Amino acid sequence: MKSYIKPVLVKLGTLALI
Amino acid sequence: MNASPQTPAFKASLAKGVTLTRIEGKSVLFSTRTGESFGLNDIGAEMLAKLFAADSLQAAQQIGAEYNAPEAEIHQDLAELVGELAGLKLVEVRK
Repeated sequence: MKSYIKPVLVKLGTLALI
Repeated sequence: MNASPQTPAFKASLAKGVTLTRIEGKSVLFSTRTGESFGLNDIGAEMLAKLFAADSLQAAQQIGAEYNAPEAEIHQDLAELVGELAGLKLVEVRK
């Protein structure tokens, strides 16, 4: 049985868009 | 494990110009509008996939059954995650 852990969102970075 | 979630049910989809991709085993959200990228842990990515395919209640039920965890807690966590994503304009929420 897999144990439940809370969802986590992490910012990785920002790509400069032209 | 059939406690009804406290937070109301909702549906959601990726916002326009946003992709959810798996790269080297990691789930990454990328916005072509802002250039920002975000990493999601496995449970977060699994939650979103189930949410996009159905609604928040069904997603919480499926995750709850898979992980033997309380649906109400999962639904609350999902609502908080989606609220954060909506604030970043990465998903669009529908009631």
